[in-house]
Amino acid sequence: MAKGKVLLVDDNKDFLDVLSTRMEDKGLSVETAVSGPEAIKKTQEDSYDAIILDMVMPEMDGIETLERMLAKNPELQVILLTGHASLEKGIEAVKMGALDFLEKPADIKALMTKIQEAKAKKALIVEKRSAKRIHDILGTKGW
Amino acid sequence: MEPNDARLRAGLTFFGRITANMTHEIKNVLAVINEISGLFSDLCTAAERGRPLDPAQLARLSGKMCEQIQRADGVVKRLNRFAHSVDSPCQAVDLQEMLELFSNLTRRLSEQKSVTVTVRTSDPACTCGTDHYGLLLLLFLGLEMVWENVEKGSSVTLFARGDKDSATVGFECPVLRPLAPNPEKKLFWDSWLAKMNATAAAPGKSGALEITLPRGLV
Repeated sequence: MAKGKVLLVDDNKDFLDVLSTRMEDKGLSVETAVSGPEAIKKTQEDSYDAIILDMVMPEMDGIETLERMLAKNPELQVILLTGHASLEKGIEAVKMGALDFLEKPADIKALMTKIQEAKAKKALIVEKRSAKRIHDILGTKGW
Repeated sequence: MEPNDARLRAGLTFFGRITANMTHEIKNVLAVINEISGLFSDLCTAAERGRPLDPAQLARLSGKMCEQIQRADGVVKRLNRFAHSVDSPCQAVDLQEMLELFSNLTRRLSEQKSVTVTVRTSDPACTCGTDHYGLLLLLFLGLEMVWENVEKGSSVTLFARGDKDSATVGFECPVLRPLAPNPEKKLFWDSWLAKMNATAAAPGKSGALEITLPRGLV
């Protein structure tokens, strides 16, 4: 059973290719997208435990992609990868709702830890939503 | 701001922008090499545990690493040429080479604006005795005007031509509005045109921005 399902988003195909191989070897199920619009479409069609998103991409950058993704699905767990120590951009992303940001080249162990954190956070959200639904149903029955 | 200060500020801003862009590209290459190195390490660990190595996979990874090293070498060479553009206030500049360098230095920035820039081959070749760095800076200020005034997805052509007395470099592109510097950049633009003894023309929707300067052959 996969340790989690991840969407990798980066315009550099070599980076996607090698990182996805490493992550799959470590037990993750991995999909990739080479642009913001492609990533947004995938998040609407499928469910992911974590989205690893590059900060700088042509056409639509990481911040805009994050904003549009979260507008449609606020529960998404997004980790941004930045190629330069742009603390302001990273903080901006976290304030917008990203889980965290890491600087490239990223340590795979740190990345895997973040992915597990994202998976746990997502599971908690789903659990809370289910609990609320049950509570609401019981409420309508007068329990 | 005084014109002298504006010129200095514009010069520094341009230098910072280009070096930041180039170092970002190098970071991206290092990120790929980091992952390839990590994957080699993962495969060695797996081999110690009995999983056989796949020579074809190793060869592929090695090839990718070579490609990334060549890519980084290209970036460093361009950055080095850019750094040397300030060596002299007046040097013989091959305008075709300069346009190719400029296009490569700014490609990723233009991609982020969803604009594609290509370079037209100058025929005949044109050399100009001028401030190499100043000319690159003027082109960059022009490119910023292009980004602000063309549709996303546009193709832009860089060109150069010369006659006995003058050389012209510029952009051709379909524009939404006439190309002109925004109010923040106007002082930078005017001060550098003055310093280079150059003139600029942007003939409306026909979509060209031309910078003409004395040929000044050394």
